[in-house]
Amino acid sequence: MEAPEEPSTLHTVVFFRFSLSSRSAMTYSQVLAVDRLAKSFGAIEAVSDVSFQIGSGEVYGLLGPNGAGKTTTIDMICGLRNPDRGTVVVDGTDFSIDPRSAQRSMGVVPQEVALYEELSAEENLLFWGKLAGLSAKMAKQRTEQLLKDLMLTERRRDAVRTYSGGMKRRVNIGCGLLHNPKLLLLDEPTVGIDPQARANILDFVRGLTKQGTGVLYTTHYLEEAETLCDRIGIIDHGKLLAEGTLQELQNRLGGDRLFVLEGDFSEAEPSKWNGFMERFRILNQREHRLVVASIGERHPSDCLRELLDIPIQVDNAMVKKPNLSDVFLQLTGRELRE
Amino acid sequence: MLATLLKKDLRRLRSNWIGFAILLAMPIGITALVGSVFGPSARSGEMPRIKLAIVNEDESLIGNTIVAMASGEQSQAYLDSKSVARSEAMDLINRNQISAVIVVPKDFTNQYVAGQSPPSMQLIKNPAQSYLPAITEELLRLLTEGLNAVSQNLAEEMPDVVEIIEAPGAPDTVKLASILTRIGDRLQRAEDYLFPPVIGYTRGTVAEAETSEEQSEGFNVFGLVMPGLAALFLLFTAEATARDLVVERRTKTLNRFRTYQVRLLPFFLAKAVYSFTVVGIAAAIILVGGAWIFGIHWRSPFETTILTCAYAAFCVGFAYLLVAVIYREKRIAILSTIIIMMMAFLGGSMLPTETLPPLIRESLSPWMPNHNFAESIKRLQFDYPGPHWATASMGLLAVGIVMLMIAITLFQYRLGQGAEE
Repeated sequence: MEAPEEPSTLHTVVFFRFSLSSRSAMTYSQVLAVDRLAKSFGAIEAVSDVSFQIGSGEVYGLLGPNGAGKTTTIDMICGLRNPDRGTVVVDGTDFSIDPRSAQRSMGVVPQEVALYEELSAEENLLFWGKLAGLSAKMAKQRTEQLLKDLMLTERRRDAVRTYSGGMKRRVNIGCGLLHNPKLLLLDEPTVGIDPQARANILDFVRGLTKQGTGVLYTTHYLEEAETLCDRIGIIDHGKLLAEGTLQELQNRLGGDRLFVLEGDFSEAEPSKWNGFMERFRILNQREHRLVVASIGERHPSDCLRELLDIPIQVDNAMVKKPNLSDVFLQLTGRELRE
Repeated sequence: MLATLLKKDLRRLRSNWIGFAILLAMPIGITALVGSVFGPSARSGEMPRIKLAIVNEDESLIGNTIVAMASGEQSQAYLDSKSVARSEAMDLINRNQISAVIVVPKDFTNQYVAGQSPPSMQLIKNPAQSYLPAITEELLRLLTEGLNAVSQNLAEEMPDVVEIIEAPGAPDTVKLASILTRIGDRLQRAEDYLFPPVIGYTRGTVAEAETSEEQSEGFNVFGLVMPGLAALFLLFTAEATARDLVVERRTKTLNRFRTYQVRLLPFFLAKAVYSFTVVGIAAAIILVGGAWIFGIHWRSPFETTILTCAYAAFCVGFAYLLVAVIYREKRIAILSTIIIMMMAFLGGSMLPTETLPPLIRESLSPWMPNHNFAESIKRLQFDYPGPHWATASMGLLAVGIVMLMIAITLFQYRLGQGAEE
């Protein structure tokens, strides 16, 4: 599904009905609805008309390179920044109308490890639990539960500063979950940790969705988005370029196979090649590489044969399954990690 | 929520107690250093007697007079002097038994009376002692100036006076009386020049006498030094705790708080209460602990406590305003230290106000809160001229609260604008 560049009238109408309806009357299981959110810093448009929704139990991945606008989007959703325009509705509550209720429904895990390093994991969790409005007893119960779930029981009383990066990240996540939020905002929660710790965190997030928590997960790791997210939004230069399931995004490329040709394409003009543009769609053209997808259902060997007939000497030809990187490449003309 | 926030900060402080201990130990250490300048006896609140050796090689009128004056009844309260030979005097000073040696050289009187330039009197100071040798030097300077004045004004009479006094047998009192009458007449004629009327008339009162007596009883040099130093270090303590605000901004815990709570005021108020608590603890340690260590008896503990609390409130407001205005963590560390040091200087916390240039002393110092705090305590303690404690307390409290409110508003505004490091 492609993100609408101009929001349709239908979309707007549906949205307003949604935001004005009372929580009890809601039939939607949406926990977050973001509509045409925008934020500029001077002349720089950091986020431009971003819209998406997240259902309960769903992991929505916001994928984009550094500086794409992911964190600014999260900051606006959780109230750290005021949007220039657009609305945020959390579990049926418009944030601009009742920020307190909206905050109670969401948990935020910032990109940085926002903990008191002099305190222990237990003290941090208890403190943030009380701040989230839990009674002392409830905060204690939730702390016990989270320490167990996050496998931190053994070192619960050690100062956080003595923890490994992975452990700190786990406590960081725990601090956003004490009040059992319906929506969890995870801003690049696995940055700078080892693969094992990353796998643990991803498993933990999967577990949360089983309990019905909706998750907004920002990342610039393709693999995380592919393996964890139910739906993915691709964001770059503040614009949501496309969104959908992994399959839907792959389908944008015109099939389940891509052809990568290596050779000297510096002066190549594929549009002048006989019938080439009718049979293939160019995803990316570089000096030494051409990435194309076939148009229409054809056998890969037929496609390869046709590709080897182009008026350029091809040194190497590969067939590969398209991934998010290719989608990103097609949408932006550059690699995700460039 | 305030209690939760405050408890959290105190817990953090507990786990970082070494830093806090260093912060608190600093003023005590500095006061002790200042104390060591005045010597251990300053703790008793009395000036110790200066142990002095006089080497009278002159053995004539002036030499003998100096020895007699130094061991006279009036001088005994301040001086513990003995007339010894040079070798013995050097032995005493080498063994740190005395503070200084005064040497009146041979033929000093003769040359002085003859109107010739006499050989210099020598003062040998004990380098192992702090301020007592310096006082001795001042005494000797006074004596020298006196002798110079006599030499210049009574040059004609001096040889006759010496001759009469040193003549064998009883002095010729008739001749002496005639000389003294002549001197008296001359002094009377020069009276207006010698003793110009500074004050029209004086009248001693009982209250004045009592005050004077009380001052001498209660005077303690640490009590004089302590308020200024306390004012300086409490400012530093407040600044160190206020800096935690930008630490929370840097570590994003403040942002996390903002995702839980819409209103930031409780966060700032809790921080201010935390700072006030820490500054209060520091003040108690400096003033109570310092008083115990250095033997200061606070004459008005209630008023001093109120005044200190008000000053602590000012320190907190001032420190938070510094943080809100400077905003960037690295700049705060440098700029706030400079500003506090400047304030301490202008307010007389580093040097006594009396030693400052008149422009600063008269125009700037009275406006400095640290000056008001210290002078007000000195007024309570020693009846020095200074602002009344209640006026000073109200002023400090009001300024502190206004500064804190401006700081909170400004910091919130900058946070809202998304201003980061």
